[in-house]
Amino acid sequence: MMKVLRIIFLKDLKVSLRRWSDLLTSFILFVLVCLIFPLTLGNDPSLLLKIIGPVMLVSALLATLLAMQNIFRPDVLNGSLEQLTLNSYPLTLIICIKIFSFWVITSLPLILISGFIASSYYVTGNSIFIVVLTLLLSTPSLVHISALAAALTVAIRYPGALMALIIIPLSLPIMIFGAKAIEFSISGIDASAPLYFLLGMMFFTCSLGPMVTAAAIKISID
Amino acid sequence: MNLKSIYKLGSPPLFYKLCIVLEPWFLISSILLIAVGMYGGLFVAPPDYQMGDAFRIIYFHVPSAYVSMMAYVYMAVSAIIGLIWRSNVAFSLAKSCAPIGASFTFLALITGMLWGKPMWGTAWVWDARLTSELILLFLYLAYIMLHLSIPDRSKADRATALLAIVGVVNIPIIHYSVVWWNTLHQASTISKFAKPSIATEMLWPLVIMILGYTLLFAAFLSKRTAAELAVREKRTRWLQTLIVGDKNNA
Amino acid sequence: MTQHNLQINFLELYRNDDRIFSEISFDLSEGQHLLISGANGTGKTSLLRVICGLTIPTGGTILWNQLATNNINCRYYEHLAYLGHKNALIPELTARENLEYTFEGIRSINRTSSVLEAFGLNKYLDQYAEKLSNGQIRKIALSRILLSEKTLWILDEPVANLDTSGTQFLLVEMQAHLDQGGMLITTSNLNDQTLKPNSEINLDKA
Repeated sequence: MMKVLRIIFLKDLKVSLRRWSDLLTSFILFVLVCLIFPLTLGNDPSLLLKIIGPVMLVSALLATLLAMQNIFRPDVLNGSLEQLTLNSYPLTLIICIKIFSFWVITSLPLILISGFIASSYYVTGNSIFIVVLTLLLSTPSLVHISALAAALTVAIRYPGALMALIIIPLSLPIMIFGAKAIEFSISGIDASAPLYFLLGMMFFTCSLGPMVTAAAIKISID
Repeated sequence: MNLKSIYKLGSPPLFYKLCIVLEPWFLISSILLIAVGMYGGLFVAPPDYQMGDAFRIIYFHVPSAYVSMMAYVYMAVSAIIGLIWRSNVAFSLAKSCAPIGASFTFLALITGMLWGKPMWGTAWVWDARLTSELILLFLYLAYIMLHLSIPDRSKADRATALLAIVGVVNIPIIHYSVVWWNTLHQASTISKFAKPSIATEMLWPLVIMILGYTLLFAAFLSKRTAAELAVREKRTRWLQTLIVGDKNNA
Repeated sequence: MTQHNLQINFLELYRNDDRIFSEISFDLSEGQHLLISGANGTGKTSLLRVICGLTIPTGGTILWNQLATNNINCRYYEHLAYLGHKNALIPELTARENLEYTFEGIRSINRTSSVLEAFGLNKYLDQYAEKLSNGQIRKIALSRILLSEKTLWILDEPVANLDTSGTQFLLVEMQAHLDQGGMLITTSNLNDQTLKPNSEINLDKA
């Protein structure tokens, strides 16, 4: 079983790297949206420190939203998603690995660059670490919720607006607590409470998400 | 009420007849209750010592909010039943709940804004309860839009059922948001265990309005579900004889 | 080795109140070939998808070795290989990589070059799948089935897009598969004289 999962992971990684538009879309969108705010708001450190939490999370959400439209759609169009359901391995695990490989491609670059962007927003010291940690804990949940939305809408021709409508209500708690974590750490308060909540949300979505997404895929390819 | 009678409810002709028969009763009783509640709330109840007469919007706001949350839970439960037992009746119920629930949510938001202006000075404030009620509206809209976007009916039923089940997580968040976070919205006035924090003369119209709104929801739901069932079962014999039978009588 | 057996009972499919097919029943044992024929749009592909388990039928049952295919103990999918209209080839991978990555492990391509030789694919193995023609893509997808060592092959219009030599080779391979105890379900809207199916379901009349 582990051999099969490893094969699927490597294959998906190879495909995503060659389909480099996914990688680039989420990364560039994240960086650009984060940079638009200081460019338009001016160089006021106190203002930038106030908005960095929400800006980071909203940019991550938009980047994920855009990139996740391609997690299942190309495979449905070329017929390989059906083959994933036609074998003796549980679809839940296969989807879990697929989403994980997609997270590595789309969200890991975001997390790595977020430290630099945070320091351009005048964040210092320990708070930069908290910013990176917040993104590390919130992006898996966002990716799993987006995968569910993608699976539900995969048979629809232009799913963009509908995916946004499904993702945003479900991801609001993550946004709120992520922004709070960054805000607390910048004000000097201990940020562990929101971070624990993000960790809990991550476990919740990463354990139940693939199961619901697999059910949605089976329904969509009917 | 044994198990067999519950199974019988899943049969479309029986459920259709049940809806058609019950709908006028629901409608009439709800109109009566709402009339009594409105009289009690607008005229009999004394003005609040803090807010004056402006508090009377509570008699429209709280029932709408209550029904909006209850409709979503009802929709999610019908969705689960439909998924497990593949029942046309359950899926029709779930599909019909969505527009009605969305309307009540919209009403709750509007009446809340009308109340907020005199009470807090501003129509909208971004606190937990209002925001999660707005999220509920978006969830209803997402459900409706997903249903409309998938042309194959059985696929649409099952996909939206999944969405409804996933979104039900939002309901406890709305309900307990005033407990978990110190927000501007006031805490609940009616609790199961504690003595209500509201005077009795103000309480009974509220309870009657909540009952009236619930029956109104039931009336709308029965009519809509009957219509939806008729559309789904349009090729079956029982519906054809129903239509043809009516033609013979008319 | 136990004898494998596929049993279909009273399968029916309705979509949005339209009847696609109904009262489909058949029995398939090892070494048998079922042909599903009919004009375009009569539901051949839908029937194949129902047999695979991709589409859930409105009524009827599918039994593999006397167990329902949606039973968790039923090992239907260990023996099933399906090829639909879409070839399930990933355009961003080369032909070789598409053949290599299987659920049974990374398949080594060199051993299996007899099939690729017959299809004439050896020259194109390292080309990206998006650059190949439809016929070549179909051949690679078919090679995947031929090399898969599964008992039951479900093929939707297998000779579509193939040239003459490819078609000949495929028919020979299908016969060899049946001789070794495999099972075959195909659809066709052509009159295939070379392969005599054991049974036929014609959806025009159903």
